Amino acid sequence: MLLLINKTNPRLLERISLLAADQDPDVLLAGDGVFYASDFMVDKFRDIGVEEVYASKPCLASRQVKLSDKCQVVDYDQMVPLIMGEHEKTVCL
Amino acid sequence: MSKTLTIVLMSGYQENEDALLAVGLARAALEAGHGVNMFLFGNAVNLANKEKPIEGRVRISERLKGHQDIGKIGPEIEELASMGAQIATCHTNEYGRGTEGEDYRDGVQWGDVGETFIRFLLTTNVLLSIGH
Repeated sequence: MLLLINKTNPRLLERISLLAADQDPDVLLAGDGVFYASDFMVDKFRDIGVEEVYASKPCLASRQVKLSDKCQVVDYDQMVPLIMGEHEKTVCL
Repeated sequence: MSKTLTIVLMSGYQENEDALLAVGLARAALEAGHGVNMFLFGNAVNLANKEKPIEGRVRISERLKGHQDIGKIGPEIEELASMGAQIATCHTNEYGRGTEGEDYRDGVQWGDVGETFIRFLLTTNVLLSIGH
């Protein structure tokens, strides 16, 4: 499962745990969601079972984020295979 | 393998970046050879209509206008339609916002949940809802 996170939410980790922690989800950060692309939050994601963390290149470009080197930066053309082929479903949180 | 992506967009284009994300994904999917349906729901129905010329004095400053124009992606909706995307609105949401019956941008179709959206779902491989 791919979780598209396009906004901030103080209960995000709880929501991920409830929805998908047993499915080893990947996370795609977009919009204000890219504020979670920090070392601190990537470690939090990993602690609850998230495997890969991707962050939108165009959304990072308009924000000053101290990007974790554990995050993969992806443009739209790289998001398409993530959504269309590599994951059975994508859920927007 | 070519698939069809249906995007349900629920945000308008001045309230957050969801519309920019939807358009960027749709264009990349089309360029990769996939089919794209886009269903405009909630405030996203305001992407469907042609803009009306402003009559009288334009009071917005050039600087603020430049900022607002970043999110005005209506022409990109027309471009996606010209690339083959099927784009339809929910007329009930238009009615609720007082825009039902106004002119659509080129390539945008009138739509509803009961028929149009169901048709999209029946012909899609991947469903993605984007909203806040």
